[in-house]
Amino acid sequence: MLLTGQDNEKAVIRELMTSIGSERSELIPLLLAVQDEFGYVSEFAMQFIADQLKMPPTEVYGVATFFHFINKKPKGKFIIRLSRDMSSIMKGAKSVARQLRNDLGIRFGETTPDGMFTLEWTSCIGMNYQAPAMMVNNEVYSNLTPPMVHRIIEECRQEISIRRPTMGNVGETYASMLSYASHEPNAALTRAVREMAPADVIGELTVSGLKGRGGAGFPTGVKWNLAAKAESDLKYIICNADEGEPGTFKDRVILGKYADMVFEGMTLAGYAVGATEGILYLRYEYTHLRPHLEAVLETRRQARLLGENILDKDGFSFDIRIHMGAGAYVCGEETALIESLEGRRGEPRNRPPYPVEKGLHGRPTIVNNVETLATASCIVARGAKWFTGIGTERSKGFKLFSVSGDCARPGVYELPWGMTVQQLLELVDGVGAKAVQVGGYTGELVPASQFDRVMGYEDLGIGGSIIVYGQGRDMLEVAENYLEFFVEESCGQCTGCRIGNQKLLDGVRLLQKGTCSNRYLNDLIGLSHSIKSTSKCGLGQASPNVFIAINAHFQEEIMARPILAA
Amino acid sequence: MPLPATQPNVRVVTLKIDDLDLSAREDETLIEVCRENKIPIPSLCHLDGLSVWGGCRLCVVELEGQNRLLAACSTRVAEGMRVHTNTERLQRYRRTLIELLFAERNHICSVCVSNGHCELQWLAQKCGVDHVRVPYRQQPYPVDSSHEMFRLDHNRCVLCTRCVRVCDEIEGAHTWDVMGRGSDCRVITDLARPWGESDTCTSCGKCVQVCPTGALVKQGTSVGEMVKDQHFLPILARRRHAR
Repeated sequence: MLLTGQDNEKAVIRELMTSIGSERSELIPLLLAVQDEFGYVSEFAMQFIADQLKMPPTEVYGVATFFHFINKKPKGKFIIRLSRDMSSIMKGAKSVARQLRNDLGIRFGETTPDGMFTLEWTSCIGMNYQAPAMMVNNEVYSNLTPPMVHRIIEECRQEISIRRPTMGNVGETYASMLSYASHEPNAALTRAVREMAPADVIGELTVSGLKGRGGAGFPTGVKWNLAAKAESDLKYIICNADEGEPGTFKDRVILGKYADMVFEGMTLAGYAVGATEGILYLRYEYTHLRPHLEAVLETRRQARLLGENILDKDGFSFDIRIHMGAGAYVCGEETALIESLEGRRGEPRNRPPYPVEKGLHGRPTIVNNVETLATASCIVARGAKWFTGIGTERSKGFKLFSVSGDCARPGVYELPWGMTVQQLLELVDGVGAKAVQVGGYTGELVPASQFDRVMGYEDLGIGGSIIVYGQGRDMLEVAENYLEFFVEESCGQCTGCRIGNQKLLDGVRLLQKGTCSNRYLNDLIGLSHSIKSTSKCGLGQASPNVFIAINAHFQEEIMARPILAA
Repeated sequence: MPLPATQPNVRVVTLKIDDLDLSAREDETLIEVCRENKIPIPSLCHLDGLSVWGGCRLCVVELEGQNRLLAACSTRVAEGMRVHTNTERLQRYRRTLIELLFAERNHICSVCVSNGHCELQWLAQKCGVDHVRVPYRQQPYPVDSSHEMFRLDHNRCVLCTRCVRVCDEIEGAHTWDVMGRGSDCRVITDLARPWGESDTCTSCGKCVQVCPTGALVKQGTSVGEMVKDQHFLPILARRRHAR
């Protein structure tokens, strides 16, 4: 019998299903696997997958088009994705972009006629301290310069497929992570399993005052307690490694260096709330970390730190698997993350019910940031007292900060809460800055006049991304970049976020041209507050922050543009 | 989220909405209580008989003691709640949201078959939208007339997803879904193929009846004829769930 291309495609998909699974929750991993085989996901493949998973085909299409990294059309053999975050732009991403366009003879969003290269912009890839950076397929290249890009393209052309070490093109990050470095491996888990009841583990965390390190700052002890109290046959622990906030790269560094501590924290959480399944939700941009993480998991299984009867504790079983994201910033929001884990479009849910009551597959679910879980390991190993001794009255302990932008020493810093912005600038050698973005794009833009503000939950309670803007930086360019990002990443559910951010972006462009009247500017500020107040999730509630901030702090600068003749 | 089945023994709570003392079943949402008591709350995506979506955000209300606004469609009542549905701030936000909807696509009432019985138009009048302050996007959107009986005009779509939900939850066909992200979102039939080619569509027309605007209409109807009838929906939904 003659096999047609479609028969072949069917056979391949069937085979992928036997290894990945044929549950609906495996839809996104399946789509990504099909794409790895064929370079893209054809309509035929979507139809076939829908039939196999017993889903409506239209839903598969809806999911596939939601995620940035699932291609619906054939793309080049080498997909070049240049990071568009502000740190990259400041360090010369535009000249790199020009070089790429010249070398390849195509514009962004296009594929070369010979099918070799596709050129795209992408949101932050977590390499801000070594900006500009880009991905060629799943490999990361950092500290780019135009000549370097030229060389990389040549190498790709000649198909020099030398196997590079996973992080070979990435320099070492400056990282001061003393508490993590001095953590005795698995001390927390051993202590918990041998000496503590599950409730004691939660008690220790509650006393420590640890709050969620992803940015929302929800008390971790309270979250675990709620999940522990919820009754269910099955509970889930999810580690949120969808680090999409531009300017943040601490989670990538933690996963690279201290993955053990993260998995230890997940296992601890499993012990504390009675969960048996853990999932690490890893963003697609960090695919290069996956082999390392799988190896760490395997070592832990060998050492009986995962699996059945962990550390010989009868009845304590817990295992962890890795689930890849497919490129959607909004999936960092916990309910959107859960939606995408269930194989749906990553759209935030209405809350309540909260995930600790009804999360993944309707079961109680804890979603914690990478850093929260690793820090929980530190706390249980050394005791809450040690942790509360650090930081301030209302912000206990330490926090990892990802510092990038106009400063001499970018990197990851472990610092106690309670430092002022000025002190941080002195530490990283960025004194004299014009403004500092604290807490990523959704955080606060702090002007020089407010550098005495304190980083802690009492003032700037934040996710930990610091972008330093030097004197020469144009605040309208900053705002334009942020809003482009939010327009790109809005899921489209809420009216205000979907359309309003677009209008704010248009407004910034009017300001750049000098053609925005005071009256319209006031309308747009009103619009900013409408978006903030009416949106369902954190994205819409925070996306207009930058627009409000440039008006509050840099009004003279933004209104001083000369009118450009058309 | 499927519609919750009516349970026999639920508690009754008392709450205050716009200074009216009301009582309600514990499993009700704020918007349901408001509708029962003739308190007007604008909304586009909510429809009695369909699951809660919470996307249009027009039904946001203020809850005393809480800074954050709540969507009335996705908030359950609770004992002692004090809710305000029509403050000056809420009116301002709703006007802004409706303006944004008008500016997103090409809503030209004078040439729309739903002119005069369109929920968007009606809400705009109710909420006092007398002009749109933001510029229209003026993007070209396609019109799909491939179906024998119905027409889909993306220019009038407000992405309320009522069609998606009624097709999935009531008809059980799931012909409709949403594709893309953010401002690129679009409702689609099957694999974004023309509606007329759909294998799954049963041509029941429920999507047309629930569509709040002129995005989904019967072909060949005039303005007077294309009045939508949504009464069937709560009856159908309740009978299905009782079973």
